[in-house]
Amino acid sequence: MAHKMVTPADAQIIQDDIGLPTISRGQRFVHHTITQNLLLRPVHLLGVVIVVAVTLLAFFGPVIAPHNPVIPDYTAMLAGPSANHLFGTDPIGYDIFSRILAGARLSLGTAVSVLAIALVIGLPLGALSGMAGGWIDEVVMRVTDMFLAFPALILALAIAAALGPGLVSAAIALSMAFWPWYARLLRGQVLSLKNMDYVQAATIIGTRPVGLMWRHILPNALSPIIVELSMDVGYAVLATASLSFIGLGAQPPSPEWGAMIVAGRDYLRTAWWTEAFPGIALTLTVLGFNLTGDGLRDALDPRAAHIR
Amino acid sequence: MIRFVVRRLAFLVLVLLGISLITFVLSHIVPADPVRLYAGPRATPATIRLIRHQLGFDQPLPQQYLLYLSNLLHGNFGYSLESHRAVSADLYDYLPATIELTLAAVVFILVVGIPLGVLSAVLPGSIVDQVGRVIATTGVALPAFWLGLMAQLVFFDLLGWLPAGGRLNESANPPPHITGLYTVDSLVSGQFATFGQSLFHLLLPAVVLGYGSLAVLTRQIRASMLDVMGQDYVRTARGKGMPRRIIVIRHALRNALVPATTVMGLQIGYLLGGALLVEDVFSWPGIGRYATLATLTLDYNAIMAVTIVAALMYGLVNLVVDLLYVVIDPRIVY
Repeated sequence: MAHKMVTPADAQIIQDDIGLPTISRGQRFVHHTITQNLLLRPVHLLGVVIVVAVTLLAFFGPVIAPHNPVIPDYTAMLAGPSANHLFGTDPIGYDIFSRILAGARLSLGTAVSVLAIALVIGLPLGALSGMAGGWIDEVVMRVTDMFLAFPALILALAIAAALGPGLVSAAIALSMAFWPWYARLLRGQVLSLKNMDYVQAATIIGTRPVGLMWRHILPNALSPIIVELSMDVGYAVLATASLSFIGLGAQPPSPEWGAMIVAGRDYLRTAWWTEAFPGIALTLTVLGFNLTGDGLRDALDPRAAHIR
Repeated sequence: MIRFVVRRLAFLVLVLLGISLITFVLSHIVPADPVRLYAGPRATPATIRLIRHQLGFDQPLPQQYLLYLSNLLHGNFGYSLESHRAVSADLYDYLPATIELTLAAVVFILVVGIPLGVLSAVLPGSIVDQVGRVIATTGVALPAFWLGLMAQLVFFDLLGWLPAGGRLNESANPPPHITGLYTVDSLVSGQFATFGQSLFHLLLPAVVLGYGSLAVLTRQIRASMLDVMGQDYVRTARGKGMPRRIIVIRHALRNALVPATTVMGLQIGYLLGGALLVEDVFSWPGIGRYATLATLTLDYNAIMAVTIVAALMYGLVNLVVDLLYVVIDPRIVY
């Protein structure tokens, strides 16, 4: 029997007809994941809370900041944490709290861009490699091997140095370190799903490879990719901050958290708050995404022999 | 077995060719003209043309690549704009420091991580387990450079227990150059004061560098141990009355070490990348610091050389890791 997703329009018809609420399979799955796994365990809930908070900050940070992040307060330069300046001020007089709120957008936004580029490059290559097999597979795998042969940060350093300073070059450089993982991941999934009965049945009735990919393989292959993505956001934030620390990503006086840390280096001894708070922000963000990723992995892959 | 090693080495060569291609492409998308940079600001156009011809930059790209490749194979990485000498000479000076730091980090990770992982699995819920879990969670989230700065703040500025940077005290003389690793050299030549000093200076950077990978390894060992100890053969051994300690060490750990070795091999990559950050924070004169300084002065030859060397080291380490499997698990035959 042909199976199609229950659309909202259908749901409305059914609801009108029998008076029972109907949601699609996908909606029920997401609902179950969220309530049963993500929200149930306090550790994962903490992760989700942090992720939501940081995302909100990324969108609304500059708006809710008490002080303007790029206008210095000359009455309180290099001042410690106080009621007026929650996290203190830096040598120029910028309010650190406001800069952290504003920097969320830069740090998180760059991380998301990195992964977006990595997905755009990695997923099609992985799908192609898995579906086509043969020499295409060999070539793609050797190319991923070449990229994976470099330690990630060093590859990113080389590319970012060639492209010039700035967050855009850093994003491109970092995506080169992340895409091979997604290509390999999807290829592995495609290879194992290709032999599933329903895929072979679809092939027999004449489904074209693209249709196979889109309707049968991809939806089932996405779970590990989503888990990987959620953890990688944290690592991409760290990597962006690391590149900024070296001097290749965001340049001071950008409120990107890594750039804030390198800018305050000289004042580590006398004004610890210039260094401490951006680092705490970074750590909490990465922690949040890691915990969320753990929760998603527990939720989406119940057969995995993982240990909590 | 020999065939396996040969095949892997051939594969490594292939990967290195690919690496050289990537770095060659990178060095040619640089926006600045390397010849102009090399010639300096006061060179005349005639001089620039001469240098361009000498360095082979006026040849078609494929020929340039072959020239580049043959240079690499002869160990010629070009000249450093900053230090005005061959990059290979710079590498010779700075590589041992990075090797020492990375080795120290690996020692730290193994010495702390394996027992922590094992005890965490064997005594779940105990204080050791809690500590292990905290380390596992914080280790992957803490930025290495921030951890280094905070560690400097606490252990040097506040407590005064450990030095803030460098491989030796300011006025100290390095030991005679045998391996380039100060700890080994000073020990071998009997300079025990220098040995103590170098250890002191090595401690904080190695711990900071290794902390993230320690978290990963601890987690991996704990997971593998729990997995293995739930197996039937372990239950059989318990049923036979084997002492717990022997089971843990001889049976469980041995099997748990196989995936842990894989993880450790991968972590070397992160250690090499982390060296960029940690060497910067602690003013450790290794190739990581050399590379970060080179990015500030746009010294591309230096950056590319460090990239290639790092990839080479990573590749060799993973080859060794693959060979280690045979030692750890005799069932594995190549």
